[in-house]
Amino acid sequence: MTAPGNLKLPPQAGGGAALELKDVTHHFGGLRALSGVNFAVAPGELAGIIGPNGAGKTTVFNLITGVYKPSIGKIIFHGREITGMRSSNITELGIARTFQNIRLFKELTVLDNVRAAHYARMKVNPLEALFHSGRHRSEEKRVTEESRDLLERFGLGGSAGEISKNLPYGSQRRLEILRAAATNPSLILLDEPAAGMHPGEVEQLMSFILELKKQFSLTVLLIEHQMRLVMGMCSHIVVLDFGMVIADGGPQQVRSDAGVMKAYMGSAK
Amino acid sequence: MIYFFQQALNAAQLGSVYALIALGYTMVYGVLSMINFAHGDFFMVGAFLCFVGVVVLQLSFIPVLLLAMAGVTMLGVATERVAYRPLRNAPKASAIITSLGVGIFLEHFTLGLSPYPKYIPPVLPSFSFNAGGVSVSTFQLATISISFILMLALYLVVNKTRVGLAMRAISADRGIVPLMGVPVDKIIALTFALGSGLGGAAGVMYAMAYPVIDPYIGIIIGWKAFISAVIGGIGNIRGAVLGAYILGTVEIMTAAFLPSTYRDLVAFSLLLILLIFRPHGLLGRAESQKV
Amino acid sequence: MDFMRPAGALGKYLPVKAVVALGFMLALSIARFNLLDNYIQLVLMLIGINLILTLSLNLVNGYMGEFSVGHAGFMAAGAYVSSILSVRVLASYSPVWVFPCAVLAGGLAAGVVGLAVAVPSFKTRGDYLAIVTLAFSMIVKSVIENIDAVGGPRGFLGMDKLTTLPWVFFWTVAAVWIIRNFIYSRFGRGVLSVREDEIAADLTGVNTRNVKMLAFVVSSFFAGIAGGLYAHLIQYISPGVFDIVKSTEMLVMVYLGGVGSIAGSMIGAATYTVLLEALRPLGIWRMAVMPLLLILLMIFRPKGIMGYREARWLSPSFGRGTGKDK
Repeated sequence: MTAPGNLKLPPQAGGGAALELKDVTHHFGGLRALSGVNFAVAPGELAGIIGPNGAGKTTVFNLITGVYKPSIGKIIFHGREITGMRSSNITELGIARTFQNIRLFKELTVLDNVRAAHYARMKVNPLEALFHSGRHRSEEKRVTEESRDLLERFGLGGSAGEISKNLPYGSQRRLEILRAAATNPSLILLDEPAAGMHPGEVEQLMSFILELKKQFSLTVLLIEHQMRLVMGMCSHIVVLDFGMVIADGGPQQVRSDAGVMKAYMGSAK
Repeated sequence: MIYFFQQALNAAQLGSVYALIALGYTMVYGVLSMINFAHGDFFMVGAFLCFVGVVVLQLSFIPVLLLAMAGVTMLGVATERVAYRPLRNAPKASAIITSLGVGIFLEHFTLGLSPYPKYIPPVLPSFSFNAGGVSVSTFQLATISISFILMLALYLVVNKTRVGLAMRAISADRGIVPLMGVPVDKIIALTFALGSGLGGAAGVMYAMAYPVIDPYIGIIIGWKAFISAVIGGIGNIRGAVLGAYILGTVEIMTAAFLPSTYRDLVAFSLLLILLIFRPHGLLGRAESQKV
Repeated sequence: MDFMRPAGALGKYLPVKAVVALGFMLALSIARFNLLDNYIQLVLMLIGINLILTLSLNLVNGYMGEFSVGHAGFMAAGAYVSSILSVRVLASYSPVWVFPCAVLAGGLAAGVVGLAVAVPSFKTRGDYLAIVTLAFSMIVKSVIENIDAVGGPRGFLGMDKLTTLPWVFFWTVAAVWIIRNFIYSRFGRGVLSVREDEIAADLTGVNTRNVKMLAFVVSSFFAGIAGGLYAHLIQYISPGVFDIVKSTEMLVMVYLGGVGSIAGSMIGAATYTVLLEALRPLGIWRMAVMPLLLILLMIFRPKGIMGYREARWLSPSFGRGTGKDK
């Protein structure tokens, strides 16, 4: 593995925030899913989005990663506007994500899931690939080694050759996170990474995420239902309710916010 | 103007045949999300049964129609039972390949039985009468009116009966319906029965208009009907009928104003253009991908 | 390119290369000295052409998980372009290089046509894309039928019998090698990830548009090559040759041998071609028996004989010893 960490310089450093949402509003048909969402995530931060079901948390992720285009508003990544860009280009700029329901490339091996994530960073053109050129071979070798190394370092080295759908649930979650990390992001979005895990596994997952964050110098934004995980890990919490930001600040501040108590306790697990 | 009405009548006749076949495609798609590529050949078998009824058994029109409908219904139900049901949970491609296979089998099996094209003598007294300058033949009248009756009957079955309700439920969500006590296998078999029966009727209508038949007529007519279903939005019953009459009109008008070899070109181009602007047909609904 | 390989890699594939070289020598001498009955040579050539077609379709249907039912359209493009070139344009030159140029040009033309189908595939998937490919192949057929200069529905002839066993062998090996390279590359993994989950692929940085375009172009290129070889073997082409039945044949070979497998494509193409010849005594009933076999296969082995598995000597981890990528 080459030096872990952020090889990609922020496109326009000095903007301050790693990610910034400005007045983001989104409609589904006539339904308003998000209205005037504003928040910012600082570089290197571990931030969390919480809120009751249907508050619009995943929609925020979908807007950031270009799955949807916001009806109104701007999304800025390291000072560069990414609103309305193609998903694969956004990923290339350095935003990676996971999904609420795991979306691995199920029939592919664990290794190939990670290797596929190198797509954008490989310097091979189609003709080189078709005719098996020297550069193609050396790139393949490099990517394979890096991928194996990543799996090795994060405890999946032994299952590199397995078909990913055969992995146990917890490992699938971790593989999905590693696949996202393999795109070499500077910001990673995790959509309910601890969903469906029992407390012991959640502990492990927390240290897994922290280790990954450290090694890759990542900024992390995660959606989570489990209050304990969010309060324990995140230094910055954004609370959404009915598509609006009702609180934004440190764990203490959010915990004591009356509006949050009212909105969240109503439907919290 | 009279020329226009004459062509409109021809379009209604062709559209009716397409509609009857398109309904079979769309109904099966509705309940199984599967394109039954053999359906065009079911129609062809209907035309051959018409030949059997008229020439071999010397039957009159209504018995011939019933024979063709009953025969093709049985064929459809049997095909579903033997070839498609075992594949219901297999990869989608397997089911499609199988239906293509069933189609090729039916074509060549029929070819084996009947290596030469068959001529079907008129089964109805054939005369035309003049309606304000437009010449209307008994065949056209029979085709349009019988199609209308069959489609009305289908509409009533689908919308006013418990069976129809079950069909619509399966088409909305096949996963959950068995939990509610709906006998899915029976409903699917019934859907095949209805769709195939209509295809059989279409075979008779077609044979009246174009009395020389061969085992390959199902291919191109089947595809045209299939295009109709797609234009309307496959899986949508009203869409299939709408698409069929649109395609019938376009084809007849093309043939009226351009060399007839352009007919297929126009039909398929229409389909492509439509799919670019409305990828799910005129009345079909896009299913949104959940992320 | 092979000579640039490090020694280890060369050694790894040595047996495969030896077999290929031997096969080529054999093909040359069979054609040169007529070692085999003409009919058997014809069947061998048809196997090769069918293998190229099967690989081509397998790339889109098996590896990318789309469903093309219109590959005969690409084949038609290749067949017509190469035939017109060899009969009308290049006829005065020596056949030694007219033929490869014509076939290559046919492949390239088909590749361009493939782009036209790739574009709708950005927005449409599954059944609707299948319909698009079908409509497209029907359009190709109708267009040819309406061009009198190439014989319209009557067809086109005048090609010399330039397709020989060594040429078929050459193009077959090229198709296997290039498609294998493609699959085990950056782009191939992109193709596979599109099959598995297109949205996740996009969000993993795979430019799914480029990947689809590339897969369609490579696939249609080889369908076009097969078309050119076919045209110069049978020496007669007509729009009717490239109808839905032809596309169905290709589907049968892909799903018989196995989706997403090169070895499967080989098995599928060879089995189908030989079986079709072996059933010839059945006459008119032959094409009734063939689909029955197919239906039985689908019921009992829906992914085909190989189904997503690959022969060891075709996969890049072959002979590596360590890192057991299954």
